Amino acid sequence: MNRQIVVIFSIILCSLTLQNSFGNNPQVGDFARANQLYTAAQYDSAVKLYETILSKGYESAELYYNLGNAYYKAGNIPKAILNYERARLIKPNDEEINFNLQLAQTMVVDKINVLPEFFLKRWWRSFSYLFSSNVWAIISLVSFVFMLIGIAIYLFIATPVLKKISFFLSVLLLAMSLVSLSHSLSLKKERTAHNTAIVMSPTVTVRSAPDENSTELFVIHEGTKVWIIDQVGDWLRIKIADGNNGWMRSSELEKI
Amino acid sequence: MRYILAFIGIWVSLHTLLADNIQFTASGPRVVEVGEQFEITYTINAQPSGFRPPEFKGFSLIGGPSQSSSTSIQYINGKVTQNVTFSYSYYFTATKAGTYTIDPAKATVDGKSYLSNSLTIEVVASGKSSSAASSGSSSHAGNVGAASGDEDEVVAEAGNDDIFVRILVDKTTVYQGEKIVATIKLYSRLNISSIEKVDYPSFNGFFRQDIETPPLRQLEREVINGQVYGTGVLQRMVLIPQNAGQVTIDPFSLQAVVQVPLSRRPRSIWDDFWGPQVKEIRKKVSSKPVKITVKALPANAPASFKGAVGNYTFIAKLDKQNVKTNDAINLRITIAGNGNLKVIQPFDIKFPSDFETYDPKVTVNTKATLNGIEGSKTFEYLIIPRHSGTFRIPPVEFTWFDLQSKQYKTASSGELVINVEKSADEGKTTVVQGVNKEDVKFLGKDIQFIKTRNLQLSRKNDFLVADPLFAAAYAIALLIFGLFVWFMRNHIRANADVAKVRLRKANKIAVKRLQTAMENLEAQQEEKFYENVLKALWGYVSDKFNIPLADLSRDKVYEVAALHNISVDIVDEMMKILDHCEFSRYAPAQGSGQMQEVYQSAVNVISKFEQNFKK
Repeated sequence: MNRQIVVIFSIILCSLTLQNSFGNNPQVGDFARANQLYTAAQYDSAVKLYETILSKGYESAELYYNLGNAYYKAGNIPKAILNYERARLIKPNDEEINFNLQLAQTMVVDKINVLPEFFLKRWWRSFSYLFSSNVWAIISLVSFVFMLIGIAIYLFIATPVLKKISFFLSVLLLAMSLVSLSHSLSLKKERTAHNTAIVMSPTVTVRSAPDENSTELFVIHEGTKVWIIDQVGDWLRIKIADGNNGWMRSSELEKI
Repeated sequence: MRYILAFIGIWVSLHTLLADNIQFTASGPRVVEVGEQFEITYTINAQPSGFRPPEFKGFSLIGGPSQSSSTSIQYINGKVTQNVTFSYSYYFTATKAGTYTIDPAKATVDGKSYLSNSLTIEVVASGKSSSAASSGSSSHAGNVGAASGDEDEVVAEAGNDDIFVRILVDKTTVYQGEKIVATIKLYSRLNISSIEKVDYPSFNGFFRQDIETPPLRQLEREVINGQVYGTGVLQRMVLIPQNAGQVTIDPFSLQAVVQVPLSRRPRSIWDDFWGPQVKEIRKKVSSKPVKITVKALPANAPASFKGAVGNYTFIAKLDKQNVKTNDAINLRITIAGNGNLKVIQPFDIKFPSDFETYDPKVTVNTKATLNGIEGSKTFEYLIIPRHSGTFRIPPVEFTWFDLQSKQYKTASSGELVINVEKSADEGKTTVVQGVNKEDVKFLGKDIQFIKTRNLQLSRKNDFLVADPLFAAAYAIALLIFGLFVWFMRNHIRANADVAKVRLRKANKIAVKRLQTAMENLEAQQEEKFYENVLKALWGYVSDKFNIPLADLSRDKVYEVAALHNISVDIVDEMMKILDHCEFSRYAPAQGSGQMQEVYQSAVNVISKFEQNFKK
């Protein structure tokens, strides 16, 4: 009885997500055409077509990655880095994306010593990169449903062994559901917060205050990644990888 | 030296003995002015038995013929040779302008007739100053300083027209890289004693190569603007412009010592005898700058074009195609032809990266002529294959701008294939044992290719976790769970109540009936007592085992009791009580003591049932 319910429930869930990701195929033709342009070394036209797809409100890691490649080949390194970073937000563990991003970053002028992250935080983060936000959400929901099934078994089946197993499984599934949910939420936050950016101007002077006359702190160059920590008007307070921070105009960078 | 002398000896003796190769020449100036004296000489290298001059029309004979002869006797290697020269000289004055042809003269030697060459003499009108340039000689004239101290002397000047230099170019509009032949020429109506301080311009913007020019000995006579000039080529050179645009060749200058005739009235007859009086002065002359328009080459140049302009042949050849490892191979590229060979740079050949390569050896062999710079340029690339296999060198291409067709032309070597066999000592040279290991060489770094499979797109910011449906799914799951629990509870209650309650109440009912039986016992109602005990027992069994009263029988009780693991003894005991009760019911008056006993054993049986009953 309750098995049937679960099956029906998961079918509804799957069809919901499938519909969301595959229900928009007319743009895929454009995508393939842009790839052909890239293969024919017409990088500028390929860039235009990729951007058209993006402007229609679609995205994917592959699209950002290919666009990054086209920008790289067209000689626009900061834009290439920007799109590789966007692709990496969607697929953090993709080898090709990470390789090309690293290669593009070698062409950036600024050499910044990256502050090492606390290892537990790093582990937690790389664990969350195992799946995308949506997959984590599904895992969370499914394990929640199984937890309820476990509780039902505990309540209504009298055999002591089954009772014990179902109890511990339920506790485990509850924990799993909560962890998955938090991963899903944090990944979603990472992608929607837009709190990182790539410098687009060839050189930018970072200042001590949101004011053109304030002290100049340091100079960074195009392609460098910055973290946005505050905003006043069109001035942004940014932090670079070595921990230094200062103010620069928002027009000089593009958010990832 | 000995050979040369011997050769001359043989040559001379051949002449005298055979007398066959008789040279009979007429010589005279090409150009004379009206009133000028000149000499025509006939020379023959044998003794003529007769000489007949032609008619000299247009000139008036002043003197001649004066005959002279010379004989030279040479002893070479013990051989005696004799050389005879006879000459006949005639002196004329030109009377009228025009072009005159003097027919050949005739001489007879040993009964044979010989004809000299004919001469053409151009007579031009006399210029303003009386020039006394003798028949084309820049050698020192002897009459210097005869007039020194004479008060009648007029200071002599050499006018700009009397002596000048020019840079003559064969074209003034050329393509970048196209050759120009430039000639530096000296013009003079005066005798030149010597030339000093020759100052060549820098030829900025040109590549320059001199054409071998014989040193200036004699001035040729030439008519410029109706005036007779002695002219001589100082230097010829090939110029190749390096950049497009207007280029100017800076002036060429030199300083010459010229002999200027002193004009004065004649004083004595000796003047004529000594010839005209002259004074040597230094004169600096420079040419006018020459403007050259250099056109840029057409823009559609192929990638392999590196600036070569002209007319070339291109050969690229490997000296061997089948070699063993560690054998040296020579790739020889030869470019031959006419043009700016010097600008051709070594080729950037993509040899297999496993090959050992060296910088090419460049050999240039060029010569500047009036046709431009001709010759060849050779590049020799030494390559050594270190591993066996078949290797391909991509085609080497050479592009040049062809001036005739005004187009770029490309010659290609075609793909060069080298077969390298394993030589016997491969590997031995580098390592002692094992395989010669190498790191993988990375030839370049590039981004990885775009993704072409699994093209999928999704709406931007499409997050399941943010979807209200997602939160609703949790709620729905919980709701379904709650409903399920509620449903299960009801169901169990509905199913389990009758049996369970009967089971639970079985004992209670039995106790109640037994209590009624107890009341009957006290009231001494014998019949009713037995009846209630029976009811209590049968009712208890019926409730306990959930058997309807209608189906109840002694056999059934045995059957069900066996299922619940109740021993047959207990059931037997119960049956005994039942038998006793049924009997006593219909045969009363047994006494209250008996009833007490039955009651006690009924309670015992029920408690035994209770104890042994398992669910």
